[in-house]
Amino acid sequence: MDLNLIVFFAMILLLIAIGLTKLNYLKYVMMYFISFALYSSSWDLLYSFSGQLSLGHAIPFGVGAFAIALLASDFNFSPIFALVLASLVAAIVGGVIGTTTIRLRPAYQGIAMLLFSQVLYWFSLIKYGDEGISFGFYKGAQIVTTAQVYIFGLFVFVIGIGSIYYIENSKHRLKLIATKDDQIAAEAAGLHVSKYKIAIFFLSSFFAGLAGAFFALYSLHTDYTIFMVSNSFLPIGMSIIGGSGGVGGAILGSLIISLLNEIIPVYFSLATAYIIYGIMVIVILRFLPTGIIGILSKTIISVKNELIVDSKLVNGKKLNSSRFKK
Amino acid sequence: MLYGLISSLIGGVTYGLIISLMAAGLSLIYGVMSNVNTSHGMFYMLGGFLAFLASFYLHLPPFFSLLFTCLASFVIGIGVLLLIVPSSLRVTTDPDSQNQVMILLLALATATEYVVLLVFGGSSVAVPSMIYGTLTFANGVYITYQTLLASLISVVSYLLLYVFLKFTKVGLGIRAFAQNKDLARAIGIEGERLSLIVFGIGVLLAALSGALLASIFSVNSASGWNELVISFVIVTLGGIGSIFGSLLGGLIYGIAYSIALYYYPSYAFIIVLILIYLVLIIKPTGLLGEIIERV
Repeated sequence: MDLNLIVFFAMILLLIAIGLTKLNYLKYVMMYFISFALYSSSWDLLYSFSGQLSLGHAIPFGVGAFAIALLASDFNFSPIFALVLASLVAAIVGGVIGTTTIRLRPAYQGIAMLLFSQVLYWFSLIKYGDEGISFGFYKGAQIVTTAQVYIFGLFVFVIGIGSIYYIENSKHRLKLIATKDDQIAAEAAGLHVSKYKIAIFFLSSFFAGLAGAFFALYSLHTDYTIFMVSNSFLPIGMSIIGGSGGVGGAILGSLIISLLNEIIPVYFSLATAYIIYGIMVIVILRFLPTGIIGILSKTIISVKNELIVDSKLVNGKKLNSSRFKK
Repeated sequence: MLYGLISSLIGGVTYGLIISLMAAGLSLIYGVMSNVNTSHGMFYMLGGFLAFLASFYLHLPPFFSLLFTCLASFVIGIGVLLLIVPSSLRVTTDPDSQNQVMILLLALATATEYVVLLVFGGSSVAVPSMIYGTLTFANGVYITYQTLLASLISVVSYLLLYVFLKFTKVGLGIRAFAQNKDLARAIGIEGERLSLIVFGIGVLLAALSGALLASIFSVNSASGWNELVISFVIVTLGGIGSIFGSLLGGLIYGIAYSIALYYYPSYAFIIVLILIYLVLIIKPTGLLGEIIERV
């Protein structure tokens, strides 16, 4: 069975278990985790399945957050409808910006995204000021208490990451990986590389927007800091630490960083936390490029092999020991 | 009305001149490493803080604090590249490896930003002027001597850079590598070692431009990202790999920015950035990409 799927189901069980308790603080931490797990999975979808590096993935994330804030405060939408609509807005904004960057050289694409995240940073700072937007839902106010928002978040987690997992393992998987590994060879084999790239950009922006909209929904606030470069760096760091190339790595990485985000500021400060993330990313990218999930799968394989050697059982049958020695 | 615009234009041209130094550094690094240095803005910020450190803690006179900034950033740049980017990734055209280097340098930039925040705090710092006073023309058009001197220093740096690239052996290697990597490798130029020198010089230029602009404006720990984006558009505007292309791109950016600043003060940065980006989309080789000889 796929390790990504195992991590995903284990995480759902853990989230349900926490939902059954009355630990409201832990629930808030896990809502941060839900939002960022989806955010970094969407970045990883773009990075590992179409070879596009987005250094400004805060664009769809922040647009989703601002869109839900405006839809709730100015247009009085109900939470679920606002969430879906905000994700669509983020998909369109992020997708259109991403589509323009495809024309540039590969190394330029990331910086072009960074450019637009800076543009949106200044725009939101000038338009909405230091204090940002604080909002509440009047219509469909059934999502009020922490427990209710948490259940809502659980659905976002299951649907969002489930869809990303589905996309990554659908019949297009090989085509996407081919697009990433060698664009020219993929084109020569008859793939519409740019079509796939654009499609993945829209999808990735949609899920990042969903994550941002949920982030704003549970904190009921959003401001210009959401477009900061450090916020674009976080999903990158999470995916790299967990291991890129699947939802499992993004989930593990964001779980670790969400927990560290609560632990480190108690002893040091939030700035120290970012320094530690930066160093972690450098060390892991240099010495453990497969990330935590890579270590996990390696251990699982070696444990499996040991078990096989110990019992000399393969598929329930006893192995001929002389054949095994060979 | 007109005189206000002239004042604004003078400011824009000098700003463009100084910031284009940083862009020239980005362009040099791209020429050899064929990668965008995502930590370039961090070195701009570091340059401002190094000059601040030199003048307030080491009590160096302003000119020597500039020299200190250049030397220190050169050494830091080489050290950083040696420490965090493996030699196999330094000179590569493989998109996957390029992405890895960009992530490594972005992680470095983010970590350093917060180190500076912890050490110096979040407030802005300014470097003392080398020279005080203002040159005033008629009708309130003026320019401070410090701005003039800073522009002069950037012009001199451009000349030094030109001499270095045109008349030294290392400069010849850099130009050869920027033109054709395979051929340069074939005649025995080592890209990995060359990339160290180029990275050092590139971030030196970023730090110099940061120190000069910190003496006119100020820097804080979060600055640098804007400048990274600005130097990116300048480089692509002028065409990659050409020093005078980035000089021209910087001047175009400065003039456009000052005009936008005069008419739409709050959205000037956004308007200019998006306008230049649209130009790039229409003409990805840059305005001057094919015209200017690659120096």
